Amino acid sequence: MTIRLKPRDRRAVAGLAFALAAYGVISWLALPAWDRLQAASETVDVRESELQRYRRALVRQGRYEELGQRLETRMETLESRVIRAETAALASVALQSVVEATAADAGVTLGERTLAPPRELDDFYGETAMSVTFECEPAQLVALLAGMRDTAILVTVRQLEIETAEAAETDASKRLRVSLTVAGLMETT
Amino acid sequence: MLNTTVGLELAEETLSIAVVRSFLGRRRLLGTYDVPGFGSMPVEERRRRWLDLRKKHGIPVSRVHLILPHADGIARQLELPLEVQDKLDDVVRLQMEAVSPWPVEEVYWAWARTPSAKGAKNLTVTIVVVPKGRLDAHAETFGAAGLPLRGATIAAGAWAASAATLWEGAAPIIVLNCGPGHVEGVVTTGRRFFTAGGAGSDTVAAARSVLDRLLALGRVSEPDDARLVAYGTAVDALPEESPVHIPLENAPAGAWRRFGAVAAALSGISDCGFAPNVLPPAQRYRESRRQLIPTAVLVVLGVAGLLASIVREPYQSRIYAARIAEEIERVAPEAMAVADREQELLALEQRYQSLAGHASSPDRALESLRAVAGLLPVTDWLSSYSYQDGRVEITGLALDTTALQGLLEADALFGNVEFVGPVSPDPSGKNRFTLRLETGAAP
Repeated sequence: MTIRLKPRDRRAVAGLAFALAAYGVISWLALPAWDRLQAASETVDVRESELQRYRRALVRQGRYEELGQRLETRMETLESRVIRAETAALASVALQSVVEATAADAGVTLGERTLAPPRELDDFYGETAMSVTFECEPAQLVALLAGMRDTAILVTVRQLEIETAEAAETDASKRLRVSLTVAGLMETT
Repeated sequence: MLNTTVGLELAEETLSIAVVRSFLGRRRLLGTYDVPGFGSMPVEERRRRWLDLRKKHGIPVSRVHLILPHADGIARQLELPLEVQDKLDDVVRLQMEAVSPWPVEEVYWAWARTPSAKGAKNLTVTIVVVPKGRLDAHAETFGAAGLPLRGATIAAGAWAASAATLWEGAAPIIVLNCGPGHVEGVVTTGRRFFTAGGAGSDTVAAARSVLDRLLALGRVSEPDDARLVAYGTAVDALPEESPVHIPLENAPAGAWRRFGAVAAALSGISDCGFAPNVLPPAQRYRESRRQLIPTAVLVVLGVAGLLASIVREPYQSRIYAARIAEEIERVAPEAMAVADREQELLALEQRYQSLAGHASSPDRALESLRAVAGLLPVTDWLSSYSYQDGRVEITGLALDTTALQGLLEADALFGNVEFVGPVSPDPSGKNRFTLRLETGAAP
C-alpha cells in the first residue's frame, strides 16, 4: 500500500520531526552541557577553600623543622628512662631489677615482693608496679627512696607504709617495717 | 501569518490597485489606487508611473495578483461524488479537457477544492482555464512595468472568493461589474458560484438582464435578502443604491468602486477554493530568499549573543575552576607533605606532653618523710607513717599535739593538717594522735 501525503500532512510530519530533533538536542546535549557547566561553576568555592588551605600550609613550610628537632631531642632524653620491653613480664622484670639494685646500694635486704599486672595510663604509656616489704633503719630507707630518684628508669613511689619494729622511745637505731609500692613507666606499644 | 498582497484589475485602460494586509486572520486595506490610461501607455511610461506610485506609498511587489477579464478564460465549478477524492487529479483533468474550448496544450489551467461541509456526499471543485497566449501577454505587460505577477485568476472566481471571504454567511451575494457596453456578474451561494454576462449600450438593461439570470442560476428565492455589489466604470448609470461598505479594516467609504482590485488582492489570501491560481508555479514571481540572509545572520548572531550571555558566567567559572584544579594539583604534593609533617609533629607533641606529665607526676614520699622527721620534736615519736598519692597519715605520741599540728601546718610542703579521730592520753603522759596531711605545695 502506498501512502500519499498531502502537503499539509508533510508539513505536519516535518514539524513533528523538527520538534523531536529539538527535544533530543535539548534533552541530550544542551541541558546536560548546561548542567555540567553549572556543576563545574558550583565547585569553585570548594576548590578555592581547598587551594587556600594548601597555600596556608605552604606558608608554614619550614617553620617546624627546629621545633621538631627540639621536641625529638627532649623525647629521646625522657624516653631513655622509660621501660622498653616486648612483654609485660619483661617490663616487670626490668623494674624488679632496678628496685633490687637500688635496695642493694642502700643496704636494704628486700623481703616479700609482689608484682602487679601492668596498666595503661594513656594511648602511649603504661606502668608496671611492684610491692616489697622489708625492715631497715631510717637512714637506709631515705637512701633507698633517694636512690629511686636516680635510677635509669622513671620510678615513682605509689605507696609507703612505715611502722616501728621496736617501740623503744629513745632508741636511735630503731628498725622500721616498711611496705613500699613503686611503679615504673613503660611503653605500651 | 503576515501577507501583504497587491491586487490588480485592468479595466478600460485603467489599472486599479488594492493593497491588503492579512495578519493572523485580520485583514486591513492599506490603500487603493488608480493609474488611468495604463493600458495604452508605452512600457517605459507604465514603469515610471508605477515606480512613482510605489515609491510614494511604499507598496510591496512580492505578492501581486491579477484578475483577468471574463473573456480571457473560463471558470467552471463541478460537483463530484466524494468517492473520487483519492483520484481527484485524474478526474479533474478529464473534466477540464471536457470543458476547455481550447486545446489542452495551449492553456494554463488550475483547480481548487472548496472545503466540504461535514457529512457532505459531494465535493466541489473550481476549474480555471486560460489560454497561454493571453496570460503570458498579461504577465509580460505587468512584468515589464515592474509588477511581476505572483498569481492570476479569472475575475468571476476572484469576485466570488472575495464575496465569500468578506461576507461569510449563507445569504447570496451578487457582484456586478458594469463596463461600457457590457455587464458581467457572479452570484455566490455557499460553496457554489454562478456567472453570467451581457452586452448592450444600455447598461441598466444589461445589468437587469444579468441580474435576473444570476438570480435564476443561483436559485435565489428572496432577492431582497441578497447582497448586491456593483462596481465598474459604468456603474454610475445604475439607479442610486446605498453604497456597499467593504468589511476590511481601514477601508474608505468608496472602496467598493475598486472592488475588482480588492478581489484580486483577496484571491491571494482566500482559501475558499473559488479562485485557483492559474499562473504556473515556475512563472510565479518570488523574491530571492538571499535577501533574508542578513536577517537570518542577525537572528543567528542575536541568539548566539543571548546564549553567550547566559552561558558566559558558568563557562568562566568552569575555566576558573579548572585553573584552580591545576594549581591544586601543582601545590598539593608539597602542601600534603607539610600537612603530614604537621600531623607527625602533633602526634609527637601529644606523646611528649603525655610523657612529660608522667615524668613530673608528684612523688613526694621522700620529701614528706624528711620534712616530718625534721619537724617532729625530740619529745615526740611516731608509731606509723603512711604515704599514698601525696597524702600522709602519721600516728604517734606527742606532748603537745596542737603544737605539732601548728608546726606541720607552718611547713611549706604540707597543708590541710587535721586530726583523724580523737586525741587520747597515753599512760606515758603523752597524747596519742593521728594526723592527716596533704603534700600540695612544691618541696
